[in-house]
Amino acid sequence: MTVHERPPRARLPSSFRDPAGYVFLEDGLFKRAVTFLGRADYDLFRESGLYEALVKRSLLVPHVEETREPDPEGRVYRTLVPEQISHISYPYEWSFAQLKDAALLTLEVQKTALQHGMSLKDASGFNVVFRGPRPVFIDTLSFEKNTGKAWVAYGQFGNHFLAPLLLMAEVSLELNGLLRSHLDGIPLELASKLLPRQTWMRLGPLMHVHLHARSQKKYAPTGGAEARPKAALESGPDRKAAIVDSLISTVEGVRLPGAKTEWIDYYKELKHYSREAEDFKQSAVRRVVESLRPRLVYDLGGNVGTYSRLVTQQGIDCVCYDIDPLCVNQNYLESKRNGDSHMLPLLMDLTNPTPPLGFGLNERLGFLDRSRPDLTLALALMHHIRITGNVPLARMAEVLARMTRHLLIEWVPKEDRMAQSIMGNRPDIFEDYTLANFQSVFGDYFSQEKAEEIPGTGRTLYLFCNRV
Amino acid sequence: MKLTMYLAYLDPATGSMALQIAIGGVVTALAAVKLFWSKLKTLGRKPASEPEAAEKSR
Repeated sequence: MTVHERPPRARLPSSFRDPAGYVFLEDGLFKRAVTFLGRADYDLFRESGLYEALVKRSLLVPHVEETREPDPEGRVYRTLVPEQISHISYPYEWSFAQLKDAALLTLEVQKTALQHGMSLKDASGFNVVFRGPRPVFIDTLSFEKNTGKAWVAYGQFGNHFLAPLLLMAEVSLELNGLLRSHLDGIPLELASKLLPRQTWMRLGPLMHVHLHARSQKKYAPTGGAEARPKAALESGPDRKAAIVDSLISTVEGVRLPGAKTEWIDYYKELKHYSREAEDFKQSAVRRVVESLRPRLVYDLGGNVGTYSRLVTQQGIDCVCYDIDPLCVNQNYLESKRNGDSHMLPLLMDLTNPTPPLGFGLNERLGFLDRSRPDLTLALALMHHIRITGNVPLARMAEVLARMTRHLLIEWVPKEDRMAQSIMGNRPDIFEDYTLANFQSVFGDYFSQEKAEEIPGTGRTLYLFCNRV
Repeated sequence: MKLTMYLAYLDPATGSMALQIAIGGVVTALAAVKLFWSKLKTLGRKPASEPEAAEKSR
């Protein structure tokens, strides 16, 4: 088949905004097409040495150019095959430290671009993904020739990074959830309203959020096009480098107060397991991973990553999901410190996981639409989902079966001390929560490969294999 | 309570550009002060003597 006989490339539903190119899937690989509209900037990107400078410092995902000829009919100038990222994650699934590192990465990319006569034309959080505990910039076509005096993506950087970081640090960690409802970032006017008054006294938040929000409001169309300072925008010195330096100082200065959450000391204060039981459980997880040799593992409710680390220590990628933002933060910081390149901690409420979002509901993928793990760990989790989340065991089995090939799940009986503590004073409406029903409903989707009692706990580890 | 329709007709880009002009002088001056301060700190630091430097680089 010649180049011109190739079928039209199917763009990813998320890749429609930039006329300079698009991402498509071909032969199982994600590729990036550079259109003739993006040709001049892409050539400058390569010739200026910016690509090498960014890749050398691991700031940008590397790519190879396909050898196929330019395809004028398809309007494709170049086809790039970037390094494939094993698991895509989104800003609303990142902890505070992850979002902060992604913000600093974006600013470092922009700083490097300015040194090479180019500038970022957008500063979206979706341009960054995590390779293990390290952020990397993925949008190779975000660079344009540096011509204007102001940074066109300055507002977007505030929406996607600075506003959520300040809201998480100054108001509540849960406010990163606003990134889920505002896919193009949190409006600065909203952030300015929600932030406490004392942030007006700090130069960075004052300039880049509060005054920024006022300026955006002032120059909204109610003022009329004639009110816009077009002439001023085209004259004077280039302010981008100084703005980027100021943003770096501001982002570095956003820090989490010493907050504590319900689950952050869960393993430190572990009292419901004896040392023997804990050792047994760890050894069982290790043995399952060694025997299955999965390519990708999910650890659901993984807390600070204690069991995920048993997976990553074997050189296997593990996505460790937890509902607690401080646990995810701690896991991320520890994995980063230890150079655990196989660990990806992410924030997820399993009773309300990330849905598909955006235009056509397929711009951003939902939790169940991404990677399919070969093994999922659901340790000390089911009593939370059944009692706190009020999800019947049959529904739990059905969803887990849609997600994974193998499942290592810990059966926690209703009489268990921790299950009883979750139950508290509420009436027992959980009639399906019995061992016989657990085995029956999970048996509808999985075949049982192994069952091992955890000594002295009344709990049992089941290894299931998906029937499909 | 006034509700803002964030999607409708708002042109935040111009406001963001205008603000950069407004704060351009401040951030440029701050960057200069920061650079001056870091140079001052470097000058104030006692340079390591040659044998010491060689020892440290081992």
